[in-house]
Amino acid sequence: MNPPRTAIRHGLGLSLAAGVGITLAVMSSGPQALDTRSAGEDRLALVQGASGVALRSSHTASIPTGQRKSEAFAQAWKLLHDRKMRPTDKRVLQMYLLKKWAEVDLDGALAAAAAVHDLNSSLGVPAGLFSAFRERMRTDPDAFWPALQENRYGLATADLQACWMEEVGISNPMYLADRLGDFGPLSRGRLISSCVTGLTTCGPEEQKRFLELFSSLPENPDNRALPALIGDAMPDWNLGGSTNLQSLLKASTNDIERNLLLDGLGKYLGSVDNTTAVKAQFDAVADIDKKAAALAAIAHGETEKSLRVMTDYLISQGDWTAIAENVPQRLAATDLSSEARGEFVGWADTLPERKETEMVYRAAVASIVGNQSAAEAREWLISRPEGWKRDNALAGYAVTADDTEAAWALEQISDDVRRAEAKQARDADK
Amino acid sequence: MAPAEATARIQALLATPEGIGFLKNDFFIGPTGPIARNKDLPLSQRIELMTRLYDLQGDLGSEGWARREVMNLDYEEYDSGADSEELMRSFEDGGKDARQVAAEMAAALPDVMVLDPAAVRLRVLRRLMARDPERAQELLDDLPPQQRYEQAKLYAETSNADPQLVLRIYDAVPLDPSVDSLDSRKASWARATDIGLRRYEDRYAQWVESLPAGVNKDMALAALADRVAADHPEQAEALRAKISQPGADR
Repeated sequence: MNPPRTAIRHGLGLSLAAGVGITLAVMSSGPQALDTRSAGEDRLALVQGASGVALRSSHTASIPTGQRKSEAFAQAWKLLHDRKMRPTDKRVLQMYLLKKWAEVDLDGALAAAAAVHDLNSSLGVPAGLFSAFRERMRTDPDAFWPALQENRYGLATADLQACWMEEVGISNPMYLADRLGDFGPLSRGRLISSCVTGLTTCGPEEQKRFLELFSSLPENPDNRALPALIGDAMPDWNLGGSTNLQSLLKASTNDIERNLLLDGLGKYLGSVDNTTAVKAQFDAVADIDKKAAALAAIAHGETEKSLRVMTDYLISQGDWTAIAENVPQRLAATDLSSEARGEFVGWADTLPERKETEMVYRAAVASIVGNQSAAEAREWLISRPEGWKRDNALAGYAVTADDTEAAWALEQISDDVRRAEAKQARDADK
Repeated sequence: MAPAEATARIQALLATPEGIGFLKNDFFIGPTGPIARNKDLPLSQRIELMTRLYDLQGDLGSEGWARREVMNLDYEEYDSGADSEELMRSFEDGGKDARQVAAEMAAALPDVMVLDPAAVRLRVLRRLMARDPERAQELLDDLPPQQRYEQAKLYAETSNADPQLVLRIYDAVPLDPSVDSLDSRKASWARATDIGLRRYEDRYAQWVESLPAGVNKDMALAALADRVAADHPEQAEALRAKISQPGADR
């Protein structure tokens, strides 16, 4: 491995040949150090060109032991610290030196990095010089475990831990997940975030085991936000779609795990863009889980077809409150195609006339008129069936339209009470 | 285009109505634009030019903006250089004291020093406080006691200071009831607690409990207890039980 270009630019050449020898030359100027001290030289030379201070071990027979090598790195570290150079250049060299030092003496290198603990917290959690160990963390997570367990560097250990979790979560998520219980509740969010990303490339068995590990956590208010972290990632997992999720659900006896699986199932159902398919898959869900799955599908739903099937289910259950609380928001947040908007309004025309369905109807209408010119909107609104539906459509339009259009819409409302309510709603919204 | 050449063009444009019309829409006149970076022009002239351009764009408080942006550019350029790094290292290693550092920084930023010496002093103080709050206090020696006290406290209160720095600052500036209150210090610790929990997570509570007994530990315990009380009333109670001096938990 060649030294960073920065080293060459500053005349500070570092070349290391692991197991053979170390050449570190700190020269006053120019790139001569690199030219004269190549990797593979069988001697240790620690030269400070400027001052002439030098430590030399110049014979093959005196190849240093691990400890002596580590001491040489410590001396190089000190020389680098004392070297006058731009902060960014110094950091590049520090990272390089730490990485090579860790090959000989990880603990020594870690202690050196921890001593340069950055106390500027304004930018969140800085991994700082611990980033030099990222590659090693991915391949050898155990090597860092004692330092973490011992809280060896005080608060700086938390920075090391954050960096370690990020890397291990990607390279070996189950290794990290197995340590879930070893961390306090405030650190678990980071651990889980790191794991769920890495788990996307794992098999269903590992993903299932992760859910079991997670479900075995003791109840703690700090764990409240954690299921959402997992739920957000689950659609990317290959748990096997609806059928597999449902078999996992049937086998699960733990509430936390069940809720996560239901959330995952809901997200899956919410992404199906085929009415027959989504209906068939939803019909297969156990009755006890149907409402939770429907609400999750509505909350995360991406397709109008899924949204209709789930709302129909809630209507069949007479769960009007759940409809009023969940469906309009989702409609407002979903960017439907013009074809889907038309289909949805056609479906909305079949909704029973109830207070709870008013907002659903209005949201369906808004998705149409929001994409039309004023003239088109007027024509379309007047084409609505007279009575509850047309009045509702006009009332929804009156709230969001400009003054002229709102005045027109209010005039068209046939029911005096509804017109007064719509006017009040518009005034309140202004 | 080199900053000097670009500046000359802008100056020529400013001399004609058509040029002014063009400059009104020019988007590269901000802190990264050629005027701010043109070190061939004196600082005051860069600020004046930037102010004129901001005025053209109808920005309110244009002089203040221009001043801050141009001065910050000078600071940042200096801070990212080898001289500044070397100076800070000398301070941390004890080779130079705070006054020597302040004098060298002032000499390295002569234009800013002429224009706004107080801003330079504050910047030096902040940089040194972040590295060694005890020895940085030396810069405040000439101030009257109350001002000295307030300046030192300012860093802990207004910056995103790490809890470890807040502790060192407050250790260096013991509580003086004649000019400060427990409440004010507790507010600082509340901020430090948020920063500490966000960055250090569970290890922050361990750190607080490991602090040496005294008013700072009491404050840190009380702030942490307040922070966890809603979700963990028992833990909050246990933390409060460790407070040694009455008053810190109120």
